[in-house]
Parts: sequence; structure tokens; C-alpha cells
Amino acid sequence: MNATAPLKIYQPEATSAIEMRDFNAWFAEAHILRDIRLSFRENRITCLVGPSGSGKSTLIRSINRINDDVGNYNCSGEIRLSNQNILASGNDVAKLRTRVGMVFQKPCVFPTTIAGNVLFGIRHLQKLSRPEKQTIVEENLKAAALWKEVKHRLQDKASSLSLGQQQRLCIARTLAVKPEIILFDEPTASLDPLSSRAIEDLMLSLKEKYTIVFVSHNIQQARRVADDLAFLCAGKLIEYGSSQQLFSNPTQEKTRKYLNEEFCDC
Amino acid sequence: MSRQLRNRLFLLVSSGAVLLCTAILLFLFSVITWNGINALSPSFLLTASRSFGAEGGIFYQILGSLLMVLTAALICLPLALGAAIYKSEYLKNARLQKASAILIYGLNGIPSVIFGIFGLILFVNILNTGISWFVGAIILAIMMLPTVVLATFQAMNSIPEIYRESARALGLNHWQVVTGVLLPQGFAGAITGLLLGLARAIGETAPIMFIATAFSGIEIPHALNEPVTALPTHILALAQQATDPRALQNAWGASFVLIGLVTLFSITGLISRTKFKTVSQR
Amino acid sequence: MVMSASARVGKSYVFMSIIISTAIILLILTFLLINSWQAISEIGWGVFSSEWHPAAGKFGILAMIYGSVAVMIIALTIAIPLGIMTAVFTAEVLPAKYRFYVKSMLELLAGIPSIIYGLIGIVFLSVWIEDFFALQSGRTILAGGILLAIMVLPTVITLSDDALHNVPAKYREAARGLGLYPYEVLKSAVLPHAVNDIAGALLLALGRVLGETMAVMLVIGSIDRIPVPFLNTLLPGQTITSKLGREIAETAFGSLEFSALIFMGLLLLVFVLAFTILAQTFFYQPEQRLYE
Repeated sequence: MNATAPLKIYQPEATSAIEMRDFNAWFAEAHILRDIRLSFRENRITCLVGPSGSGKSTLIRSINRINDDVGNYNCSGEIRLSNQNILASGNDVAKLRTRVGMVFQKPCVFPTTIAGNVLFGIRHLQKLSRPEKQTIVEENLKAAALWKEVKHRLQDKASSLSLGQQQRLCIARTLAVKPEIILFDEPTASLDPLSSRAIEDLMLSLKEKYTIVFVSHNIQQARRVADDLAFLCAGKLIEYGSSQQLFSNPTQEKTRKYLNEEFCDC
Repeated sequence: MSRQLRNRLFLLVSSGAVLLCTAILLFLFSVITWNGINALSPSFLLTASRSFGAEGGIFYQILGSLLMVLTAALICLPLALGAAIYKSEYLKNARLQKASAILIYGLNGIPSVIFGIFGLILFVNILNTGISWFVGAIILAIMMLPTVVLATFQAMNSIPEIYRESARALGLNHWQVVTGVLLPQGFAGAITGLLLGLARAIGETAPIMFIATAFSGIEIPHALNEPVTALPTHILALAQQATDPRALQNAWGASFVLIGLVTLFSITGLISRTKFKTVSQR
Repeated sequence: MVMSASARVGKSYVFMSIIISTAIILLILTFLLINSWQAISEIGWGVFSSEWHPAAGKFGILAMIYGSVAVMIIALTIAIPLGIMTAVFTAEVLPAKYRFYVKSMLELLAGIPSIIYGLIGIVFLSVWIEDFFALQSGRTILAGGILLAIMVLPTVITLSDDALHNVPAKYREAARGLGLYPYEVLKSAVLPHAVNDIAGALLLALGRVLGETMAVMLVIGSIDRIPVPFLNTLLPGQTITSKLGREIAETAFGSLEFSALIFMGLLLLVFVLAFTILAQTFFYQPEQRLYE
């Protein structure tokens, strides 16, 4: 497969934030990801697309090593973040996750107040005075485009928010930890179209400061949001390039079919 | 750094707790197994006890225990099935549903010695039955009742509504739906509950020691109102003469057999529970 | 709708069954109340005095209450921290594939009849305590407390483990995603969800400790006295259950002594029922499983 390795064609002009080298992953005996070579560009939105079971979620969940805690998971290869292999044993995964934040498919708010959720991670990382807390809550809720809606009820239960608001709260909570990279694992899968749009706009506004990787099932969404696209199929990286190029001029037939929402046999 | 330190400390303390618990567990198992196996022999299992248990075996104690708990299971089963059916299929009022649950949970929480006292007052003193194995079986049946009712209830309650509706759509009346659709699955739950209940009942001493058992000299009862000898009360008698090494050895032997029976019932119960769970998930 | 004959018989059968099943507990309460009435009316508040001396007509149950509370406190001080820390390990640290074995082990351990714990208590624990503290007899309140702690430990572990295990994985994942260490994940994301169920588990354990009879009866020494000094648990004592277990069968039915004993039983039952019902209805309800 190296003969057609798309990496050779595509030369990212921006510096890459994360590089995956010959990355393989297994769940028990099942070989989920095969020889993935990818580099995600800084301050860009990279979207992972592909049919169900292609390994997108496994891939994105490998970047902050959250899969480590799932039983039977194994991986090999390298994932480099600022020139260090994050898979090296003895690496502090908790610290890694403060640099690589993640937003999950279903919004998962903790059973505390809205403000408490924003502070949930950061208050373990540093001692915060009361005014500092207020600033953090306000800044991050603003960054997550939620401030206007909740500023008068910061002490309300987080579960009183709508699902779309909850998801933005999860993003605010992730931003508060000050990551460099944010991973979104199908962040709009359980939301209605309007809330989904809000999350998309939010991602676009966040890319100035963060490197964003996201998984999506929705090809139109990928077209709207992504700078770069990586198309995965049956655990292999089929094609990787700028969104524009993949949509207009894919080198692989499978990519063209999938992006045109035609039947794709992989 | 102090965060990491605290995390390490936490892991250390919790592994320490695990080690301590494992040590206790190993101690219990090895003491029971080692002493039990040393006391065990075919003649121990197959002969009657002599000299107040210090000599001879535990044949009639095993029989007596089995007789009592199996009778208890037979008494318990129809009552538990009926109660579970009513609770699952007829009782629609939420408040009554809650009240019946509380009463049944409460029954399950009653200390075993209280059951013994209840039996003593009602049967031995008021109804004047005397010390009787059958009274013991009735009391043990009452003790098992909540376990069996709830196991059956859960089994029936987990059957999706669509089965009831399909059966009703075929023209079955309520009772036919119960007997045709719900009872087969409920029965599996009842058997699980019975096995778990048996595992508990056979080890109980306090409920039967005032009302059903004599300590020695008894073989097989010939009438409902005769006493019986049982394993747990036999162990109690032997434990009170623990200074006599022969009595102590027989106590370990009897304990080992008793645990064997408990384990037999509970493992079959657990197997039936897992097996049954996979069926209902399908 | 006209009911067929079998449907009518069936319905009355299941109705009778539920009535009997739910009425038994009320029947037991009524019997205890009736039989303790003599003690309540003749002795009055005097039952809560400290001297039990039937020949002198003194029926104070305070020493037994002291004993029950003392063994309960000892047992729970040991079993709660040990049990919860162990449950944290089995639920949060131990790989899932071992969980089944651990749970089965605990279930077997919880099934060991209390009389056998009593035997172990007589042969080992009380002898160790005797030697360690150089006592005349190791059959003490402390021995009863420690033995109960060991007995109730599997229950505490397995119920707390369930409570932790039932917390949805998404909360752990979300907290980990924010860069928290396992200890912090447990403390901020898992425990707040599990705390109710754990409280229920502890209430059940409490009820079980209070109601346990055989094991305590064999190792506690059976002397109806409040220790002097008050907190000296290295002396023999008596719990409500051990008193009942030893003496109820030898006491004449209808006597004042019998009635006072039954009153103790009623007191025990009321407290245990309160704990059990509180635990089962307000705290602990995953799958509505039963634990004894």
C-alpha cells in the first residue's frame, strides 16, 4: 500500500502539531488501525471521515491515549507531539490529556453547577482564588459561545441545559484546562441541526488558537468545517489532503465515492 | 508533583486494603479446607454421631438439614410464585407496589434470631406443636420467601410488554397470558431464587435451634412434630465443647460439609442466574 | 369482561399469596409487640436500666444495648474503610476480566454460615486476643466486633463495588479527558455518583451487624454487664442477639423475664427494619437486587 501512500503527494505547508508514524491498533485480536501515517497541521481543522467501523474513533481516541483504559486495547508505532513520542511508556497520561483535550460524542456534564463544570478539570491543576475562578468561568464560557445564554444562572444545575448547550459547556470545560489540541469525537452526533451548526461555528472560531481534529459521519459538515481531510476505510488511511483537493480532485476512487455519498465497498 | 504523590499514595492505600482482605480470605479458606479435609472420611459422612458428637459421623445431620431445607423450598415455591405474579401482573397501583416492596424487603432484613423467636412463640408455645422439624421448615420457608419472590418478580417484570400484547392480541385472557407467557420465564427466576435461598437457609442456626432441632440421639423423624438433627446446630453443640480435640475435629468436618452444601446451592444458583440473564437479553 | 373459572381461581390464588407474603412481617411485629407488652406495662422505663437480675426481679437491658452498639461500632470502624478501599480497587483499578472471579469469591465468602465464623472465632480469634492482651479469656466485646467486621466485609466490598461500577463510564472518560489522575477521577467524577448507593450499602451492613447472632454469641463471653471503665472492650459483654440466642429457649413462656427478652427482640427488629427499609427504598436500588 505504500506505493500509493498519499503522504508523498501531500506536503503540508504549516508546521504539524501531531505526527503519527506507522501507527497500529488492536482490540484483542481485531486489527483496527493499520500503519497509519498522518500529520495534523497546527491551527487547522482536520476531519477524519470514513464509514462506521473504519477506525476513526479509535484513531482519535489514541491521540490522548483515552483508549488505554479500555480493556484489550493495544497499539504500536509512534504519535509525536512537540517531537516527543506520547506512546512512550512512563509518560504521564494525565499530563498529556491536559495538552490534548477531548470532547465526546454525547455531552457528559457532571452533576454539579454550570460554573462547577467549567472549573471541573482546572481546579485540580492549580489553586484558584475566587476572582480567578470567576474570570475562568466567564472567559471560557465566552470562548464556547455559551456565556450570553447562561451568565445569569451560573449556579444552576448543568443538567438543566439543553443538549446543545451541554455540549458547549463540555467544550468550555476542555478549554479551561488550556490544551494545545482539541479532539472532537463526533461532537454533533446527538444534537439537532441548529445546535450542530453552533458547534461547527465554534470550532471554526477556535482554530485560531488551537489545533483541532474531529471525527464526523456527516460529509456536508466536513465540507463546511474542515481544512484538511483524512479518509479512512477498514483501518487504513486511504487518502489525506486538503479538504478542497479531496472534494474536487481525489486520487482514489473510494474517496470520490464516499465523499459523493455513493455506495462504497470497503 | 504533589498531585502525582497523592495519586500514588491513594493507589498504595487501596492495594494495601486489597492485600489485607486477600490475606483474610486466604486464611478463612485455608483454615476451613485444611481442618475440614483432615476430619473427612467416608465413615464420617455415613455414620451416626455418638458421645454427643465427639465420636462418630454426621450422617443424620446431613439428612436432617436437607430434609428441612428441601421441605422449606416446597412450601415456599407456590407462595412465592403467586406473590410474584400478583406483584408483576395485577398490582398496578404505584403506592401499593411500593408498599409491598417495602414489606418484602423488610422481611428479608429481619435478623434470623427473630424468626426463631417468632416460631417459638407461635408454634411451640401457642399452637403447642413441640420441637418439630416441620415447624423449622415453615420458618425457613418464610426466611427464603423474599429472595424467591423478588427473583421471580424480576424475571417476569423483565419480559418486554410486546409479548403480553402479542398474546392478548391472539385472544388470550389475562390469566392465560400469565400461565402461557410469563410463568415459564418466571419459573426460571423462581428456581434461581430458590437455590440462592436454599444456600442461605441451610446454613442458618438461630431460626431453628429453639424450634426444630435436638442436639443428639435423633435419627430420621417419623412424624411432622418430631425434632431432627441438623448440621449448623450440630456445629454449635460441638463448638461449645471445643476444648475436646475430637469434638473440635468433628466440628471442622461438619463445617466443611456444610460449606460444601452452601456452595453447591449458590453456584447452581449463580449459574442459573447468568444463564437466565442471557436468555432475557435476547 | 367475564372471567373464566380458571382465571378466577388463579387470580384468587395469586392474591392470597401476596397477602400472606406481605402480612408475615406485620404478623411477626404484632407477635413481638403483644408478648413484650407485659414488660412494657410492668417495668416501664425501668427496662432501660443497667441491671439484669431475674431472681431479684430486675430486668434492665442497657448492658445488652451497650454490647450491641459497641460491637457494631468496632465492626464498622474496621469494615467500612477496609471494604470501601478494596471496592475502589476492584471497581476502578482491577482489569475487568478479573472482576467476575473476585465477585464470585466475595459471593461465596458472604455465604459462609455465621456458625462457622463463630467456630473460627472460638478457635483462633479469641485465643489470639487472649494471648496478645494477656487476658484471662479472649471472649470479649472486641472479639465480637472484629469477627463481625470480617463477616460483613464481603457485603461491604461487593455492594460498594456495585455502586462504583454502576457509575456510567462516560463520567470517568470525560474526567480523564481533562487530564485528571485516577485518584482525582474517583474523587470528583465517580464518588459523587456512587455515594448514595454506598451509603445504602453501609446501612444494610449496619442492619446485618446488629442482627447477627451465632458468631457473636460464641465469642462475646455472655456477661450482662457494662464494662468498667466504660470503653474497655477487652471485657466480656452481651449483645441483644447473644442474650436472646442463649436464654430465650430456657425462659418460661408468659413470664416477665420472657416478656423482657421479647421486648429486646422487638427493639432490635425495629432498628434493623428501619435501616433495611431506609437502605432499600431511599439509597440502594440498582436492579432492585436483594442482599442479606
